[in-house]
Amino acid sequence: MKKKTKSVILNLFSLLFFYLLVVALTFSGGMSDYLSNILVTVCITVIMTASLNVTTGLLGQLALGHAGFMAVGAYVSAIFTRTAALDFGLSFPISLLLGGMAAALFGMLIGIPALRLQGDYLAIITLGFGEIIRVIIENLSVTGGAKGLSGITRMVRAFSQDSAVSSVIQFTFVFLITVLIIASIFTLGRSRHGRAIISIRENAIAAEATGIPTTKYKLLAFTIAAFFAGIAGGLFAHQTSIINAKMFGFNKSIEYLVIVVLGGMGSITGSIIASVVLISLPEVLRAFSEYRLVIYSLMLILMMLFRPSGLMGTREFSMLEAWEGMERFFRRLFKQKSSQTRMPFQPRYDVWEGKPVLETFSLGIAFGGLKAAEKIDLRLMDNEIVGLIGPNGAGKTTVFNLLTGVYAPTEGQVVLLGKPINGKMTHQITQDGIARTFQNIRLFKSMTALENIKVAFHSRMHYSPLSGILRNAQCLSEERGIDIRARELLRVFDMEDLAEVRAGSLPYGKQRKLEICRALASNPKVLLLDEPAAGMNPSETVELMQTIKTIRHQFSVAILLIEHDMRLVMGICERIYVLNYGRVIAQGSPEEIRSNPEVIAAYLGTRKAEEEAAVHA
Amino acid sequence: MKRRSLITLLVALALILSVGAPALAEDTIKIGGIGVLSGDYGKYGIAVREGVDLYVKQINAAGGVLGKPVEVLWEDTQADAATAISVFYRLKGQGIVAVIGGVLSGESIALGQVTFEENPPFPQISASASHPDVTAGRSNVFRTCFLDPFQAKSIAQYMFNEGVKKAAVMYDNANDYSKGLYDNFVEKCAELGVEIVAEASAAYGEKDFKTQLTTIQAAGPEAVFLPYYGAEAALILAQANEIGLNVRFFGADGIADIVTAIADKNLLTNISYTDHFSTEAESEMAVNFVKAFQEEYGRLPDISFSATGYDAAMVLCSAIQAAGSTDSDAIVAALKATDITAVSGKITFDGNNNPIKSTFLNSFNAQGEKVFITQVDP
Repeated sequence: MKKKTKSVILNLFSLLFFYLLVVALTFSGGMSDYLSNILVTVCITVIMTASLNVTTGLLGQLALGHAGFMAVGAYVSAIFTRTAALDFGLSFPISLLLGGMAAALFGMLIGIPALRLQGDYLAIITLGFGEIIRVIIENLSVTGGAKGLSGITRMVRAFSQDSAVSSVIQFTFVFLITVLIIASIFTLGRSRHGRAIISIRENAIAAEATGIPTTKYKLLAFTIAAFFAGIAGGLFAHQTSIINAKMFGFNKSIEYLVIVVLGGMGSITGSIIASVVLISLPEVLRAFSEYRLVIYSLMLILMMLFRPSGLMGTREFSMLEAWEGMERFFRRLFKQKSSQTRMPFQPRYDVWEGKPVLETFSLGIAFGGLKAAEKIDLRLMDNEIVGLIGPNGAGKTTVFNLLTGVYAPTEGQVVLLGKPINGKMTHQITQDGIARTFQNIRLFKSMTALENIKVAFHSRMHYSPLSGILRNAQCLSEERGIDIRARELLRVFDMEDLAEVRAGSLPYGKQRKLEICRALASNPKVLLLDEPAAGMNPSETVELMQTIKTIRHQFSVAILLIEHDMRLVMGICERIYVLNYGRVIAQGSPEEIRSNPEVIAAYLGTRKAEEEAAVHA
Repeated sequence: MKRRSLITLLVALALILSVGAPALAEDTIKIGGIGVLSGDYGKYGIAVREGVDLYVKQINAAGGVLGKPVEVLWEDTQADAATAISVFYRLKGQGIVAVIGGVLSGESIALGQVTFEENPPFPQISASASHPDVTAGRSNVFRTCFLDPFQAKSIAQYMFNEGVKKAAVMYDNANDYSKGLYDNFVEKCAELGVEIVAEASAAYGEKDFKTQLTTIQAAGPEAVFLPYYGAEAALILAQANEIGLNVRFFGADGIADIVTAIADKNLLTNISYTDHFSTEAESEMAVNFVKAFQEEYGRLPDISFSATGYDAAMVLCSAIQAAGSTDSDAIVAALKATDITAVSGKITFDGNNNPIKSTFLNSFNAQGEKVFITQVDP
């Protein structure tokens, strides 16, 4: 706590000190136009790289057309201030907002194909988008064609007759916007929306299965990044007074991307530091300006060799703590009563006692001619532990994927709590009450154990992205609520002391547990466990059996588990389904299954099957 | 980690702040040279720089300006307007009294905006930026290269000098370059009393111009003006020859690349075009310039902007000398009053600070080599 307060004071005062220093220097004449111009360039670059980091770093999608959004913002903003018959002090902020909004619209448009694509494909789409923007701008008359727009009011002289005063107003304005944007990115990153975006980067499949509408959040990330880039574009247009499409070409996008990579993808402070260094370095080393790109490349190569994750990796400088500390300070100052803590998590007790919670009717899927599963009739009663076993390739995981909407069934019905859920998206099904774990663990590795759980609370929370940015009362009370709940949940699994440990560095057994824990956080009525004991030693398995029994009672869930470890299956399951070649070949109590000849045949083979196999071999 | 990052940040800030060290006491007259000096367009900036540096070397050998040597501080814009602004501020911090630049139109417009907003407006002269917005509405920005449309006036003047009474023109109504030249040509012809007997419009990219050429032929002009680029001009010349329209053709600088487009090089002798400068120019200034340039750099000043660059330096230095001080207002006033004979001919400035100056008329021989015809004075 003490350390935090110290860092708050340090950060806050260094910002304030820097601002006052610039103002004082400007009035005393020590701040040349040259320096104040560079400061504006640095601020614009910081906004561009920090916003690019939202898509590239936080969302984890490579975007190669970020300068395109900047272009949209620059043109919209410039056209507005040129045509609006308003005082510059009024029309300029409005124009920035309009520029940001126009860019956000384009961000959304580019986000729509991005919903279906990722990785290289998305990168190529964003690249194409950047070029499309350039070509459109070059061919419209309102944008001045290839010649571009000139005679845009320069903000450095426009605010006041006195050049020093005007310069200070410019700096105040640009600096404030930059700080606000950075702070918004920070607070957003810390909100449920930010966690959702980061979880997509960490593991898109798991995010969806945890109840995150991944498409929506990809779109949100693109829109926000574009909005900020649009604002930066508006500032840029009013810094240079002339814009043309070539200024926002592919090279510009790459320059920003290089800065983001050098600073560390996912670290906003890394982007800030890299922007400051890379913008000021060529100015300092003016004599080497021709070698600027060589220096960039060299730095990039060295960085990739010695620090592949960039200057800061995904870590952050202490800005966030500063922000939170400042909040506490202001709340104390204004004696604002902290609002009621909202507890978003209530297990669904006793709703379906004695009734089936999950039923499938002749469920099946065919991949082309191959029927991976057919005529599957499962029934899961409330609070039941059911096993799903079968030889390798029998279709067990396929059944899980059908139940959770990863695959759309080609036949049959899935009914959850009395309602059909066919055709729903994975995250909707998760919200409706089916949670799952994965055969190969899918945690959000670079997030802490606690954050992993919090991601799963996402759909239990309601505050908007704007609340998240502003950190208003609703946001804070919900966040406090889930913090308590998430820790409670970890305590059930004896992992409370590991709350702040990165999920990726937990021991294997704990990772399995954490995944179950995360699945429970989405408040399921049905829990699907895909080989929970895989890779565990016997004592860990015994512990796991105990845990599964405990959660069934504590969380009032029905559990369907796939497992090869027969001791575990026979030990805890009340009923067992046996799958082979995509069909249910047997069901019943462990005893019945153990003595079922068909099951034995499926696992061990029959004489006849052996003979046939020999013939075919 | 935290501490290390903080240190990085502080070092970076210290570096930025250390740049703005105040300029030292002046015993030279410093002029900023701003323009693209690298990349695709670098050759144009370098051509300007060679011209400027040559003049400065000569004037310094002759005693400098206001009794002080002149020093030109060059900065590369990398063809980027934002960089142009940044380097201007940087140079201003180093005590420059005027700017020669920029080289490309985009960077020059941005630079002009900044110099114009200085209080008082800061003297600026470009040797090569041809966009109208570079000087429009800016009392402090001048240039020594002519604007595209201006060439048409020279061509009209030349036709008049040669005794042409009836001229025709064929142009593209939808193209700024072509339309601008056309307007100026018609205006100047009216002023001089050269009759326009036929006008025809044909778009860029057309392949068949015979209809228009037949109309023109029927009107019986003595000369035809073709404000096109080389590709269209080549087709027009060939088709004119086919229908037997054998008069002199004229074009502006855009036509210079006709050599690569034409099949029958004999036709080239029929066409003349204007340029900013010719290395074969016969005026004393031009001859001396070409000679000095060759001595200095070991080759001909084959990009005309070396000549206009030389002239920009000459106009500026003469203005400073005439102003008797390095005060911005005084220099701008002296620039405005410029009336000088320079390498690329006589130069005065019009109401928009654009030069009223000589152009150089070139043609080709049957081998497709450039042939200098004459210098056309305004």
